Amino acid sequence: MNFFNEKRGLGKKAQVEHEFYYIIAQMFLIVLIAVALFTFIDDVADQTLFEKNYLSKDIALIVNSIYASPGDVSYTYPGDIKNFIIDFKPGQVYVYEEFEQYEELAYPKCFYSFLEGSNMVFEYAVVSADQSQLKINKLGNIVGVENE
Amino acid sequence: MNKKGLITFNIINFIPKIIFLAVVVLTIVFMVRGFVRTDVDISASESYVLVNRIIYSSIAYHDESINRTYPGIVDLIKFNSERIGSTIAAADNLGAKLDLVGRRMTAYYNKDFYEQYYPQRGIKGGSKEIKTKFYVLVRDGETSVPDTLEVSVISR
Repeated sequence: MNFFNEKRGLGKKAQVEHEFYYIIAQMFLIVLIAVALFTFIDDVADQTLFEKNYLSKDIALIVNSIYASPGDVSYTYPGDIKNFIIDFKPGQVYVYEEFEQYEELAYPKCFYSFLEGSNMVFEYAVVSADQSQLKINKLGNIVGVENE
Repeated sequence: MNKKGLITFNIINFIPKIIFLAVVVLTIVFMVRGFVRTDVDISASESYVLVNRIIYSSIAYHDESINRTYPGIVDLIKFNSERIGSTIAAADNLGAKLDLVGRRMTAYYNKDFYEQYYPQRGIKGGSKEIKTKFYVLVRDGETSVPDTLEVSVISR
């Protein structure tokens, strides 16, 4: 569809120039949108919220299972906790990242509850991210956690 | 068309393209957010662990003469809500009801929670119910009688 009349409108040279700048503007817009989208995807890929939620629930479930198991138990958690801090508080397991330092700074708070046994003692502790593995022990009526 | 008209035409022509582009970008963003999971549901596993904990420790028969606990044998003296509540700390997301069918006896773990969220079972955003059945022996004094233990766990 040719809107231009050489006699009345733009000449050929101006037409070419016009189309050229039009394409440049559209390419600029495409690059801008592409960069924004890739930045968004990258940000989503780096999120650790799911991992923190998963760890808190998995560890709480394991503590419940250890309470339910008969006799003495020593269990080494197979998951990788290298980048996280596991904080055992009364009835709750908090998981946050090293840079968050204290759970008050962590948002959203990732924690899950475990059921303490009334006739057993749980030794609350903070397991740092330096070590790669978490060990949970039940000896007699004492349940404790440590780095390995 | 003169130059001014051409520029105006191009700008007006660009507006639907910008709107379409915005719609496509927003669709991509919302689709990605919609499919990214940030949570995992462990209510079923948690319920089964609780049931095992109650049956194999709280209400299990313990022979003090040989210091041995018999999982699967229910001690009638221990089969009550107070005993179960005294051995396991109260949870904020779990409740259980235990029925000895033959004896027509019922005991609860976290009774208030169970009764509050039982009507919401199966509703989206409500609670979930896990039902299990165990064939047990009920120890009453010196005798052991077979019975069925039905357990219903409500989790939220």
